[in-house]
Order: sequence, then C-alpha cells, then structure tokens
Amino acid sequence: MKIFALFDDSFFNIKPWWMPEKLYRVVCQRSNPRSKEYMLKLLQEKFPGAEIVDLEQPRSPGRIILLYPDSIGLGWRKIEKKIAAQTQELIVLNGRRRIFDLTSSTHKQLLLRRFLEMTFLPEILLTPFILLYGAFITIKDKFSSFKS
Amino acid sequence: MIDTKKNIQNWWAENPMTYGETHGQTAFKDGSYEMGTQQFFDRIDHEFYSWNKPLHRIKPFDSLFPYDKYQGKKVLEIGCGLGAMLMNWARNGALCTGVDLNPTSIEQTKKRFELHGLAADIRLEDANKLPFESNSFDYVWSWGVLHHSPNLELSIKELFRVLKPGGSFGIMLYNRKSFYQWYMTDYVEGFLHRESKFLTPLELNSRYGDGHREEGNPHTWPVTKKEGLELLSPFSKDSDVRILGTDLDCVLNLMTPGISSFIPKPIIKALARRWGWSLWFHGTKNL
Repeated sequence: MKIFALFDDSFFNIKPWWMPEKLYRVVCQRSNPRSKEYMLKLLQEKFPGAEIVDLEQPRSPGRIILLYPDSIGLGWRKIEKKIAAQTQELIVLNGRRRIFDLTSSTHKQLLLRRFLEMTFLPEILLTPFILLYGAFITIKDKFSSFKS
Repeated sequence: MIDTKKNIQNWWAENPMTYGETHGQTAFKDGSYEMGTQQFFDRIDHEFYSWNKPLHRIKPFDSLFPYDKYQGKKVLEIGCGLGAMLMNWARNGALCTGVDLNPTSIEQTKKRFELHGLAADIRLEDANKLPFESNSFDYVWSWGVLHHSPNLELSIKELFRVLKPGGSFGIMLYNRKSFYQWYMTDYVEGFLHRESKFLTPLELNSRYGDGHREEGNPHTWPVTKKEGLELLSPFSKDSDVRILGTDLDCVLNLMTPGISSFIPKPIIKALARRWGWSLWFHGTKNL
C-alpha cells in the first residue's frame, strides 16, 4: 500500500490573531518545532519510499502520515478535519520522533492538549495560588530571620 | 535510551556544555565565537555566571566556594567541563586538578588554562574510577555532572575516597522536587506533549534534562534532598543541602509570560529557596 505524507508548520510562521505575542513566543519556543528538512529526513528513515503530497492533491488509496513538526500538531485541526473525510488510516510522525495512530481517542487527547498549550489555562488558574503561597512563605521567612 | 559509558562520553564530546540554547553551540545573540579562543571563554563565562548571579559576592561563586581557605591546598573538580569554575580556584591560588569523561572538555580546559597563564592537572578520567590516591585532596566538588552518571552511588564513593578526612566537598545535583521538574519536565513535556506515553521517567528526564533542543542526552536522573543526604550519610556526618533557585525567574517566565516580571523579587526568592532546580550538598568527610 502506498504511503503519503503531509507536512504543515504554518502555526509556527503565522501567529494566530487572538494569541498575545508573548504567549505565542513561549509556545513556539517550548514546542521546539522541527524544520521541514528534518521531518522529511525522519519520514524517509521511518517510512522509506513515502511520498510527500499536498492536501488537495489527488492520490491513490493509501496510508497517510501526518508530519507534525512539534509534538501535538499545533495548527493542524483544519487539515485533520479535511483528511479524516478522505481516509480513516491516519498515522502521526511528530518532531519528537514518535509514531502513533491518530485514533478518535488520541485525537481528543491532542485537541485538549492543544487547547491547554495555547490558552495557558492551568497556568492562569494556578498563578494566584502560587502568588498567595509565595507571599505567605516570604512573610514566614522574614519572621524567622527577625526571630533569629 | 542506552546509557552506556561510551554513549555518554560520545554525546558530551559532540555536545559540550557551552551555556547556549543548544549544547555545543558557539553562536550567541551577539555573535559567533571560535571554540578555544579567549573571546569564546570570556563569552561562555559571562553567560554561565549570569545564570548564577545570586551566588557571586566579589568573586564568581564565592558564596559557595571558600577560595581563601584553600590557597596552596589541593582541590579537585569532578566534571570540569570547559573549566569555568576550576579557573577561579586556580586564580585564587589553589593547586587545581580537573577531571572529565569528555575529551572535548579536557582539550578546551587545557586551552583555557594556557591562555590565562594558569597551571592545573587536567585529565580525561571516569568519576567512577579516579586515578588518585585515597585521601589526596583538601576540597572536592562537582557541579551539575553526577546526575548524568548512571552510577551516582559509585561516583560519590570515589569522591569521598580521594577526599582527605576532614576535607570539604560540594556537589550540585538537579532537584526532582523543583518547579522546573514539575512544570517543564512532568507537565509540559510529560503531559502536554505526551512524552510520558513513550518514555519511562528516566528516559523523560534524560530527554529533557539537558540538550532538550536536540534529542536529549543519554542519562539524567535528578535526586531529592532526602536521596542525596542518604547517599552522603555513610561518608559525612555533617552533610547539609541548600536549594539554589537561580533558575526560578526563567521558569516563572515560561509559566506566566508577561506577568512574571511583576512578581515581587522577595516572593521569587522565597519560592527559589524551596523549589529551585539545583541542590547544593556540602559538608566535610568523616574523620
């Protein structure tokens, strides 16, 4: 069976309009996206003979490898929606060199993680508690040093 | 990851710690530097010392290292890297020996000492099997090295073997109970990036402990305060540990970009004292 691969790193080249610049830079930095060159080399290593194609390109039936430059496919939602309509056999090869089937359950996990990655929701919720705790221990330390 | 000694040696030889965003890099924001030149050593020292500002009073790291006490005395650094710390001991009159498993480190440290007109015994050696007589050194230290050794216990045993009874030691190891560990390794990489589905805890720490911009290094295993003190207890009755949180600014900036600069410094310091990335174990060898 033929193997086709799709690559897209547009998330790391064009900031989403709704994302603050500082958050976007941190997300890009910690996502550590690999270059197209790196991903194509990795593709040939893991799936020799695989053919890189465009989403709209007509092709014969086969397996499709999604080449995420990062670990969780930031910016891939639209592509995944379109491709899922064409085939069920989707495999991910990501920039961390991991290979996994893109099942429905895995896809849900990825969607959740992309949401958390881009919104910093856990960090936003946790920060007030960290600050309160930090203020408490600062006062505690000051008191201990005054005592001694 | 296979963490044989040879793998570890080869990885660090190809990716020496140059204090940039990637290991082995000689390019920084202000320009590129040729490895082994005076300018290169000045640049990496500037970077390394800036990461550890709270540890410097008058001289680099003098809040940790009692340089004056060891003038004319024999000191040993296990894992000297590119010689950034060892050089300061030599400048302060200690009789210096530095060992490293990494041939690139040995070559570069020798060049550094030559350029600065300083003398030291720099050798390619394994921390698990040091070539020195027992009870040879007055002070032995290791900074951010031994957690990359698969046999930490043996490394510590060897450290104490070559240290004189009553001699002092200092060992910096990564802290498994730190903000960096919990946030960057366990949450961001382990959970958000799903790496825990593919890697064991050791593999996760090795992948993201050092060299994470590339493919990680062969072995990194951070310790807890309790584990470290337990390893030291057979050799040192007065061993103690201090948490160094010089990384905390950076971690908070990654957690709360745009907000962290408004967090009052006393709060950051209080958090750093408890949840910093580095554990500084210190004390004296039993008599």
